[in-house]
Parts: sequence; C-alpha cells; structure tokens
Amino acid sequence: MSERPLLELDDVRVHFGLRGSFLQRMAGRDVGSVKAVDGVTLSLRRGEVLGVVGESGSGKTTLGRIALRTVPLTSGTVRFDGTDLTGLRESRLRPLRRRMQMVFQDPNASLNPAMTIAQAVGHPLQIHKLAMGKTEREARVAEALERVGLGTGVMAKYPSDLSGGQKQRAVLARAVICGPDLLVADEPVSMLDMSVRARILELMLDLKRDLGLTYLYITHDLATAKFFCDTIAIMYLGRVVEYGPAEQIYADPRHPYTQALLRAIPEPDPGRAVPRDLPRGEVPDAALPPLGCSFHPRCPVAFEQCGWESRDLADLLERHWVSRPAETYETERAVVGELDELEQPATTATLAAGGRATGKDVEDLLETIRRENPTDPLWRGVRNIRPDGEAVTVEFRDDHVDPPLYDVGGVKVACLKYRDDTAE
Amino acid sequence: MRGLRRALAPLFAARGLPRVLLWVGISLTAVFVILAVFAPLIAPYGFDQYAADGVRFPQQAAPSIHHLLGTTVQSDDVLSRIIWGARTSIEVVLLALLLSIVVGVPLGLVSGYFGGWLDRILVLINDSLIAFPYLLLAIVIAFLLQGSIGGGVATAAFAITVIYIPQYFRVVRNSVLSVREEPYVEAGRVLGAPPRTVIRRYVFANVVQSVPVLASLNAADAILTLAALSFLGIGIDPSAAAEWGYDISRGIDDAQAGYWWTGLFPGLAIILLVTGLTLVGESLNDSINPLLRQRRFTAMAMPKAGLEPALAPETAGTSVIKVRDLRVWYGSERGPVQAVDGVSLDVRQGEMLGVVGESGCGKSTLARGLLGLLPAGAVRDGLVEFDGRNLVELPSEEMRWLRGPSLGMVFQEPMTRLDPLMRVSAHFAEALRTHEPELSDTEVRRRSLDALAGMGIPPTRFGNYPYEFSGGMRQRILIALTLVLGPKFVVADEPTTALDVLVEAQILEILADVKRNFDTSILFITHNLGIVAEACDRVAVMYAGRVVEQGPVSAVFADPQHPYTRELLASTISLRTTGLRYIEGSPPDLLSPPSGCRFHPRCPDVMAVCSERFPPSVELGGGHPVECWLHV
Repeated sequence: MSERPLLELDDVRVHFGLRGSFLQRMAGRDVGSVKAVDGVTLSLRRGEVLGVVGESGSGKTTLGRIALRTVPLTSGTVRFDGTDLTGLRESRLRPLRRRMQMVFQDPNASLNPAMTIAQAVGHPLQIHKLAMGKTEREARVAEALERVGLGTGVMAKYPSDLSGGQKQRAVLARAVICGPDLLVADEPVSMLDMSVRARILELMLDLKRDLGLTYLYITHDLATAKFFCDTIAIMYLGRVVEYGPAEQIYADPRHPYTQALLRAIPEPDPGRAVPRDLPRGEVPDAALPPLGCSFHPRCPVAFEQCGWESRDLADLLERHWVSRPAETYETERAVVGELDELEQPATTATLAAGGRATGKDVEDLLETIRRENPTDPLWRGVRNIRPDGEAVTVEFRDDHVDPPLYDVGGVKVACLKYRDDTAE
Repeated sequence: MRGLRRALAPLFAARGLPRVLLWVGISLTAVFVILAVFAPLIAPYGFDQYAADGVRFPQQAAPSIHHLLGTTVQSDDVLSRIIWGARTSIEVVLLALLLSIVVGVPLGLVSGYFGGWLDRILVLINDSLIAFPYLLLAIVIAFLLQGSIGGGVATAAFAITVIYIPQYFRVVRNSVLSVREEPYVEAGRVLGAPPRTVIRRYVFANVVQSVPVLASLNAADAILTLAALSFLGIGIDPSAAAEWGYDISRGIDDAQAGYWWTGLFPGLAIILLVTGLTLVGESLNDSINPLLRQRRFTAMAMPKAGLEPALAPETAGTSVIKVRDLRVWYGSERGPVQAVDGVSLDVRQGEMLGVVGESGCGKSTLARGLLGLLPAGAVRDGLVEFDGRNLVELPSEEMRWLRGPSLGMVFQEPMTRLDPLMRVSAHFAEALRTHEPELSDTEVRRRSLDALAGMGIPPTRFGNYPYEFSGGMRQRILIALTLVLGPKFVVADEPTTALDVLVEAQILEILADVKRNFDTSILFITHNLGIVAEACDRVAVMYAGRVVEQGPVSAVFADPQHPYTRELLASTISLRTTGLRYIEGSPPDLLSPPSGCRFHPRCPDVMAVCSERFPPSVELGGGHPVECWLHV
C-alpha cells in the first residue's frame, strides 16, 4: 500500500514582477520578472528529510515559503497531506498551520523581543486553542523547553538574555509545541558557532525520531546536509538541477554544478590545496536567465547545444581582457564599439567596430582570442563568424535545449550530458 | 507593558548630567501639573476675577502682598491667571495628545502593516496635512469649530490634534515598516496568528516605545502652539478660561508703559513648562534609542598588569608585525569588557596567519586593535611593532598615514563598504591620489585596472557603480582597493563569511595568489576551520580574549595540543563527519571571565589547578606555544 506523500510541490513557479519605470508601466509594457522559483516538482514522504541546497539566488528560501504558503504562487500546486493548499484563503489556511512550522536562519531575529520565552513558546497553543487555561499552557511550555534541552529557568527571560544556541532551541520548542507534521528549517545552524551547530542538529534529529517529524532542510552547506538529509535537491536559479538519495549524490555527483559545490567545501585538512577548478563567473541575473541551460556560461564541460548566445560573447571578451595588461585592453577596446547590444539575449550577435576599425579588425580580434584559448567551450556553440562592413556578425547554434530533469539511475539530473542515457 | 518598563529602565539608571537633566525636567513638569490639578485650592482668585468683596482690584498694580505677581490692566491677579493657565494648558494638551494618539497610532499601524492602496491613500492625506503650514491649519480648524462649538478647551484641543495626528501616523508607520520585515513577524504569521494578533503582539509591541518620546516632545510643542493661537486671538475664548499666550498679547502694550509683570510671568511659565517637557522627552529618547547609549572607558581603569604574559612563537624569518601582550578593553554599561586580554603573535613576510575562534573570543577586536580602528570607549595596551615603531603608542595622525600604503584592511560585509554614489574608478582614484599624489591620470588608471584584473574584475566594468556588482565582486573590488597601494600587511576580518561557498573559494584562491606574487603578509580572521586549513600557513586559536594555541597549520590540525582546539576541530562538520560532537556550555562573559583558565568550565580534561591559576604559556617547539596546564 503506497503511502500518500506528506508534501507535494507540482511545477510550482513564483515570479516576482519587476517595477519598471513609470512610463513603462503606463504603456502596459511587460518589464519582466524575477523567476525566483521556475518549475519545481518535489515530494516528501512522512519521516523523510529532504535537503534543498543552493547558493543565494537559487530560490531555495522561496521554495520553503512556497511549502508553507507564505508567498503567493504564480502557478503550480501545493498539496499537504492530500489537501490542495494552492487556492486556499488565508483564513482557511490558518488552522492548517499548526501542522507545518518553520525554523528560521537568524536566531537573534526570529523571537519576538517583546515576549518572554514562555509567552513566545506558548503562543501557538493560544492561537490554535490547544490548552485549557494558563496553567495547562505553562505546563506544556515547560515540557517543550525540557524537550529541547532548555531548563524552565528561561521561561521568564527575554530573547536578548539568551545565547544564539539557546535562542534557536527556543525557536524549535515553539515550532514543535503544537505537534506539527512538517518542519521547514531555513538554514537553522548557519549563523551559529561551529561548536553549537552539532548540538542543534542532534536536537533536530532527536525531535524527528521522538515526534515523527518530516523536514524540509534548506541550506547552502552541503556538509551539514550530507549528515542530516535522506534526499537532496540541488537548486540553481530557480530550478532543481539534481535530485536524488543523498548517498548517491555525494558518492557520484553528476551535474557539473553539484560537482563544483562539493569540490569547493573547505575541509579542515591541511593536506588539501586551494585551487579547485572553480566554475567561472557568478550566478546570473534571475530576471533574464541564460538561454538553454542556465548553468552553461559557467560550466567547464558545456558543449554545442547548451545554449550559447550573445551575452556569452560579452563574457568572453571580459575574460580575455582580465588576463591582459591594461595597455592591451586599451588598444583592443578601441577596436570594438558598444557592447551594450550584446546584453540582449539572442543567438545572433552583432559586434560593431569602434572608431576607425572595420568589421575585419573585429574578426581578427576574435580570432586572436580563439587562438589563445581554443578549448573555451563557447567556440563549440559558434556556427559562423562573418565580417559585415563596420561590424561582425557572430552566429551561434540555435538548436539549444533547456534540459529537463533526466532520470539517470535513480537520480534526476538536468544536464544535457545525460540526454541520451535514458528516456526522459 | 512590561516591555515598556524594561525600555524605560535605563532611563533611571543614567548618571551624571543626563540624570540631572531628567530630574530637572520631571520636577518642572510636576510643578505645573500640581498647579493644574490643584488650581481651585492653590489659586488665590478666579481666572477672570477682577474684584473681591465688592472691591475692584487695582489695575496694573506691581507685585505686592495681596497680588504676589501683580495685576493686569483688567485687574486680574497675575498669579491666579498663571495657575489657571497651567490648568488650561495641561487640559488642552492632554486632550490633544490623547486624541492624536488614538487616531494616529492605529492608522499608522494598519497603513504600515497592510500597505497597498489603503496605505497610499492615507500617506497622501498625511503628507498633505504635514505640508500645509501647521499654524495656519490650526487657525482654520479653530475658526471652523468656534462657529459650532464655541471657543473653549475642546476647540483648541481639536485644532491641535489635527496637526499632530500626522506625526504619530508617520512615526508609527515608519517603525512598522522596519519591523514588518523582521523574521519574528513572519514567524507570528507562520504560527497561524490572525492579522490582528500579529499587529498587536508582534508589531505594535515593538514600536510602542517610540510613542512616549514623541508624546512628550509633542506636549512641549503643543503648549507653544496653544500659546501662539491664543496670542493671535484665535485660541481659547478669554471668557472661557485663562491662557498664557493671551496674557502675553495683552502684556505687550503694558511693557511699553513699564508694567513688566503682566507679560513676563506668563512668558516664564511657558518657558519653564516647555523646557521641563522637552528635557523629559529628550531623556526618554536618549535612553530608548540604543544607538545613543555609550560608555567611555578610561585608560586609568585598565590595570597595569595583565594576565600571564603570552609567549610569542619562536619562529625563523623576519616578522612583518610583532604583537606582544596586546590588551584591548572597552567600556560598557556593566563594566569593562576584556575583549583582548594579552595576545602575542608574529606574522612573517609572505605568510598568512589564520586567527580562528567563535563569537565573543575577541578576534574582531584584535583586528581593529592592531590597526587602531577601535570605537571611542576602548583602551589599548601592549606592543604592536611594525616598521620599527609601536603602533599602540603612535598618534592617530601617523596611524592614518600608515593605513592604506602600509597597512591594509578588508572587512566582512562588502555590501556596505563601498560608497554607493561613487563609481569604482572614483574609489581607486581617491585611494591612489591620497597616498601617491604624484601619479598621472594614466598611471592611476593603469594601476587600478591591473589591480582589478588581478581580482578577476574585467576592465569594462571600471566605470560602474557598486550596486551593479554582486556581493562577491564587491569584495574582490575591496581587496583590489586594499592591494593597489601595495601594503605589506593586510588584516582580513571574516572577508568571506557573508558570501556563498563558490564565491568564497574564488576569493581564497585570489588571496593565495596575492600572497605568492606580492609577498604580502595577511592576518586572516575567521570562524571556519576549513578555510584556515587550506589557505593559511600558521594558525592562532583564540578563546575568551587569549590565544590558547598557535603554530604551523599542519602541526596544529594534525595533532592539536589544547583541548579547545581539539574539541573545535572535532565539532567541525565536514563531508567526512560521521558523528556529531559539540562543546558543552557556551563562551564566557568577557565582563567577568572564569577564574584561572578561561576554558576550564567546558574542558573535558579539566584538573584542579585549572580553576585556580591561569596557565602559563609553554613553547612546544617549532613555534607552537600553548596555554594549558596539561603541558606545564
């Protein structure tokens, strides 16, 4: 008999509209949106610990808020224990909230400074009318505090009187006092000292065992995720790029981004050296993600169909100039005109010549760059370079594919390398 | 309510001048409140009484035994009018304040919390009211109301209310806007609390402290406004009640004729009451606003002798910077915080020394103490030898010249360290021109571009503003800014803590290159042992203001000699962690650290002597000193 999953996210999307200028809004022009979460499908079984791992801008925090329905969905559905939460009004949602709670990142800011610990931890009981009167409420608060390892001595204290670790334990007490099924933990230990982290994680494991909790553990730290989670979902720019059982992901990471993340984790082992084949560049703008695979501009193993476009050409020029002395930059910069046009994503890029240079000069510059580093993955996506009077037209391949999650031996990976390994 | 009492507690703990001013303010206000409340009992005569027992009082008579402050042109007793005027003022102001708060605060709460079209409309109305000249507004309202309900206390109060409502609205709304985004408010919602509970217990409870300050300052202002209205003849109807402003307007003619008492005493009354209220308001503000609370620490209060002298490591090679027994203490409300309490270390040329420790160990204070960037209430003692001079004793002018070309610093939060109004090119120009003014424009540009290129920032972005860069790029720009002047020694205080792991790795890579190519010495402060292991040559482990162990990274990490180092390493979670370990207890309070060895309450290897005496520093060989009784 298959058990119903506790939490199901089905192709959820959250797009935050960008506020354009006044005129743009008057003209009704669509100024684009930040695709914080762009099509994520996940499910959590009871008792499972799912780790959502990503850097800032990956959408992991928004995903946590999607699960708790504290952020409006642009599309997709959220189901909690079979109940569709998507269209529910806030007033219908509130009674359900006692079954899904949250632990926040900053212990210094997640407790109300105007409430004592007893009041704060007992407040959920008041809200959901789960205790008959003050005495019973205080008894249950004392019980919850004991369970998280805080004595009843803190009951009359205010949050500012407690240490970071103690505050986080109070937050956990507040979260579990109503007996929830699901706990969304958003970076619960990243602001705590090393010597305290283990204690909180251990507490969270104890709570899971004793209270039958299910966790959605959001973090950027793959090391704690490895220890704590059963399943891992790696997020990049609003999408899940790798998803599967934790042991498999750590033993054999398949997506180049996952591999990079794992390599980058510092180890307290002086034998290891620093250079680690880091992916170049940074997380791109979520309002205008790269064409094709959103990781391709940084991917060391990108190839023909990964989505090459004009902005990659701008990046190439920048990379080239970073490695040259300033004088070379100045001479070469004069050859190329305005680069702003390259910011419009397209598979055909026009690079205008600057000053008295011609299209041929620009082509020569590109050839110089190519000769210096012919293995740069960008060149695999270039179909044709054509001088055109005062400019050069660079044609990229237009058969790029935005990879969905391919199933590769029990792990789902959004990378074109695995397109042929299995049926989609 | 308990929260309000807690917020007010520091008010009464004030000492010195602030305390004096507070009590002066309270006394002045109390005098007038007493006069107001007991006016019928205290005032010798009625407010418009010009005769007694059928005998009219003398007109414009100088102060005498029957009329202590003299009489007016209408034969009213000045003293009585002062007392009845106090009652009028207090009544009007109390009523006006009450109404303003009752209307302005809830509107501000609701507007700030819900936002949307409601907020936009209310803010529009509010801003219009504020933009309108307030006295004119009060006059208009007073006129309108006088026609319908007469010119009594209520009219004056309503007129004043209308001009003060917008202030409460604005102050409360702004407080709500900042509190609304706090995680604890979101927590309230996630718990399932309905909006009215969230607003009342999570938002209002945390903005309420701004109201008493505003109220007392408004009260002072309201007295003046009321006086102004009455002076202009549009305030209280003279037949309804006495008012100081009205008396002053009548007193002007008297003054020209030499009758000074009719205008002076009402004027004095206004001055005294307004001063009293203002003093109370400002004292409230000073105590409630945490930014204004600071306590200076004096050099004399730091005892001459510190703890046991800390041994510097025996290392070969030239040291760029030598620190011996550095102490940094600073003042707080509860006493001196012994943040750094006797630290000795060396950083050699081209070496990266990692200073690692948890929150409260003093590592950030150490960084700032080395460079003389401490806040006003801090005191330093000890030796920081750089370039043959002791930086601790150097006057601040000379330190300023060293900072930049010789001493560099990279801070923790790159988001806030660049001037948002200056392009990156301008930042570099400023740095270079301040310290090397003889450079030409081209040279400035070339050096800047090269420094940036070394950090991986492309020259095409040289003219961009800071907001156009991500956090990681901003930190690299800051490092480039620090290095462009070629300092020999750089202090990096948790430069990667706020950044993602890939960005952090990039920056570590860059720092390793810098160290290699330019022979720069770097003091790298962090709480992350993994970074220290990979990027640093030597490590110093700090606990409660002391360096408990330092030495070559390979030695310290492979075989830690201090129990704290050992436990810290064991509790670090890495990809290879199989079991969770942590250290019991929490870091000590640096106001009153534990006796003897500061780690003893949490040490798994604690012995009897550990709580009695501070352990001496012992050199274990190879530049590896340890402060622990286990090695003595």
